Amino acid sequence: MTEFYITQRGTQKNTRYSRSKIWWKNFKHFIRELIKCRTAFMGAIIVLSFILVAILAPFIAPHDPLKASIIKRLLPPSWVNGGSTTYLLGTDEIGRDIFSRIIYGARVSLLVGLITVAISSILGTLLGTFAGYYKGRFDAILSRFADLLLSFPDLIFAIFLMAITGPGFFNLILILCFKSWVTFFRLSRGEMISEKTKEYIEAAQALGESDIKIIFKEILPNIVHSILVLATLRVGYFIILEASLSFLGLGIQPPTPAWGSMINSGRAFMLTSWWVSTMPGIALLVLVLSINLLGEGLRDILDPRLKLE
Amino acid sequence: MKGIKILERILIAIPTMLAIAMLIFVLMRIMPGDPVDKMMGKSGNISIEEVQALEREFHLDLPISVQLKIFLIGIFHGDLGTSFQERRPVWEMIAERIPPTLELALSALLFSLIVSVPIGIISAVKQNSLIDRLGMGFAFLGISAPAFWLGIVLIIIFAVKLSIFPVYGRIAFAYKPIHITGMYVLDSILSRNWPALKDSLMHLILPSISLGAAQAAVTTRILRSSMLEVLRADYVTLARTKGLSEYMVITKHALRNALIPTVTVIGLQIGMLLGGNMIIETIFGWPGLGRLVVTSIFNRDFPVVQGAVMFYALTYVVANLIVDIIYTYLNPKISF
Amino acid sequence: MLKIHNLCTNFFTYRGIVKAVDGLSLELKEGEVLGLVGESGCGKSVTLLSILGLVPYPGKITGGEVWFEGENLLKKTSKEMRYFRGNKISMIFQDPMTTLNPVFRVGEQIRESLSVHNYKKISKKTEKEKVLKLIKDVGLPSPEQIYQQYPHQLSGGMQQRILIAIALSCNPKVILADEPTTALDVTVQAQILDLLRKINSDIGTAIIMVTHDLGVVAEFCQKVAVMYAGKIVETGSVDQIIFEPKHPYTKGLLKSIPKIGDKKTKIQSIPGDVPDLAALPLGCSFHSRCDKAMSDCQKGEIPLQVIGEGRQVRCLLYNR
Repeated sequence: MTEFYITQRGTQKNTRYSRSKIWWKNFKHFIRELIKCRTAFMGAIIVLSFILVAILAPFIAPHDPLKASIIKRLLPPSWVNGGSTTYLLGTDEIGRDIFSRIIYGARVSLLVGLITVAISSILGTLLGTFAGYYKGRFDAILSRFADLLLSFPDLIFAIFLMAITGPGFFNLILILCFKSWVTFFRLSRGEMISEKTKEYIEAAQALGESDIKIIFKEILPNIVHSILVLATLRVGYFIILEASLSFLGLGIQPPTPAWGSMINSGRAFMLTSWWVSTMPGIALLVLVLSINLLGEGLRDILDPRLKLE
Repeated sequence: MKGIKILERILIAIPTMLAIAMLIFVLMRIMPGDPVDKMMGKSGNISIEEVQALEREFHLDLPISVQLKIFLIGIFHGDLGTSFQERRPVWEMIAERIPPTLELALSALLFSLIVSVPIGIISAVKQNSLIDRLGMGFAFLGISAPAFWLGIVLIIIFAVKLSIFPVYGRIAFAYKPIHITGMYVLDSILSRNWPALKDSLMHLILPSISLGAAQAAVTTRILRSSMLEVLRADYVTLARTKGLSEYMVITKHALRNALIPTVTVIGLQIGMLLGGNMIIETIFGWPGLGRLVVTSIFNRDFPVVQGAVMFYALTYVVANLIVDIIYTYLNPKISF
Repeated sequence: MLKIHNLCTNFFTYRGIVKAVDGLSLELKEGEVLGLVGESGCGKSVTLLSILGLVPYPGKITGGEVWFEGENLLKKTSKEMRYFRGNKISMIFQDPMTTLNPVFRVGEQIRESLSVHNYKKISKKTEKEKVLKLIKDVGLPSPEQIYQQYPHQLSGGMQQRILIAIALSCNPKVILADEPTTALDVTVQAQILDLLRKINSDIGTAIIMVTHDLGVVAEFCQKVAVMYAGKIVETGSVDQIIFEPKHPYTKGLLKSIPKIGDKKTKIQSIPGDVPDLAALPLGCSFHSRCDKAMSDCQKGEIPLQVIGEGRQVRCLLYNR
């Protein structure tokens, strides 16, 4: 299969293509492939809509998410008897509009997911590539530490640490990143080790290129696609993790709207007012589903060799 | 020769568990927030003597190295400290709650295997058929839906609206069977207490599905993709040229090979089982270890939290050890 | 004993219909060794699989007959075919490392062949004894030890012998060999060929040897059929094909083999590429690469002409 993506190792100084032109060509091709793959495209659109909605929350949400009204508590969604279109998806146990809270809740989920993945992917990839390239004691210690961290289930680890530090946004990000860099570390390290055995690295070394240059210019562009796929899938994973923690009361604290804590507060009213728990959950499901669709689609697009017939 | 490999793995697990214990110890101490403060909560007036008494009780006045020593020695003796809330040995509290948690975890695992193995195999054998597409669709939903939400939705649909299953708890009090293992389903079978069996099963179904769904989804997908790869292999064609029936080719030759990577993934998934366990127990009012952890956190009962988390981590190590051993049996290339 | 008549196997791919086997006819007598020669992708392996009815998706046998001991195999159901597979007609493949199942011991894999076709209901113990004898027959030492080994513990040559043992286990009439020596070293290759020759002379098993290596053909086969783009283009005895090739393709193949001691001549290859089987040219499939091509070569079907006893050519040069 021909290589669609022109990587940096094909660049020579006197070719017509400047580096920025190469990126633009690759990007255009990527967008074309994305549109062709219907599921990934749908996923991408939905995710982008969520992001947009989250950013524009103050303008889109019909009500103040924090405004409580005892009279208006536990109103059903608009299509059920007793509901009204003012409160599209109904109200929660202290009369706040669920629809608005879901919109604002998207902010929390997306922020946590994206920031955590951003930090842990950069950290993990940097550590992994250097560990894989240089090996030696640095690698051994890090790998042992990573294995140790991996012997904890994610949620239990997070619950444990949140219990000690107490809830809160920054604590949450810190704790999630504490363990999450490990997956990126392992991936980039593994890829680095296998890429390093390939001949173009030998060639670059023979040409006298410095190590740093080799890592960033030669190897990383070839590893980036698998890291990107992993990062996308991880966003969904961390969103669910955050929701689980908030559900237990250990994540984002009320009254800040967070889908997990909304689902939790609806538990007490499961028997009579099912919508309080169900609606935020549907939002969560749709967001994570689209992220996963996008991630899987990316996997197919960015590395055609992995595609199953 | 296989025995040596197994022994090796067991031996490696021990320093791992030690390291886990130390990590927990360290984390508890370096994380911001004073534990005694937390334990006292915001209850206002507390005398200095009470604070000091607490510190002495939990050895917090001693130097860190001594604390560590006490901690580690305690673990070896099975002493995980005393619960602040109930003034009982932590280990006792944990031991009481192991059977229900074990029952739930095992039945979730069973559910996920019952669902994922046939669907995974059939999806691969009849690729792109209706079963394949439906199966993969459900699997995709399964990995995208959070377990706790699924649990709530299942309760709303099946327990509240349709009233098929009960909502909370493990069993109606009247039906409780004799205590043999502590696992109601097993005890009912052993004591031939059929009404108890029925009732305990009814209580067990919804939580098991909620907990096992995500695992089933992941397992189905990995099994399907391994099977697809294996079915393309030459040895599968050879098996057919030998005159084996298609059924034998799939189950004996293909499946055995496809299980190898699948088992590894199942091992990793057990972590999710253990974690999700806490949440599902909370939702369904299941009196297990998970619920204990959650309530202890809110009661600021740190010895219990510490002990339970350690127990979970160690269980994970042991579970992965078992999976490793199974893997060694399945893959002959490893033992030599 | 085995007669293939006008076999057609097509692959229905998204790019179009690929005619992997296009009207192929072959005859194999008892105890004969037939070589099926051709480049990669010309349909040789598919022919063997078609005989056993094991053409993989998206392929399908669309026409023709395969007569074996008076029965048309293509008309049989899959269940009925299981009687023949491994029992009357067995097959050995190219790469023994991937053909043996890595998770089962080799002895068990041989024994499986016996127990599938255990129509006389012999005991497991007898089966095991038979397996040990088979392992010895294919030239492997210490059968008891070999029985317990896993495939990855054996060398390539030993693995291939195990495959031959599996093929031999039920005393088949025909062994279909799909390039059994291609993945092996030259010295091991000679050993395997010796073994196969011994089997052919001692037990009288007929063999269809598919290969692209004319050297193997020259050494081993009695009759040869040359295949190109899904059709037979020439048949004859091994001497006739090697020393008096008629079809331009056969001639090209022979010319492209470098000869030892011939320092001055450049290696002659056949110009052009193998045609895309989904889009075959009209007329003779070879004409675009043939130095003797005429304008008539592009028109219509070129039939297989009989020009002697067991001698056929598909070329207008030999049309009467």
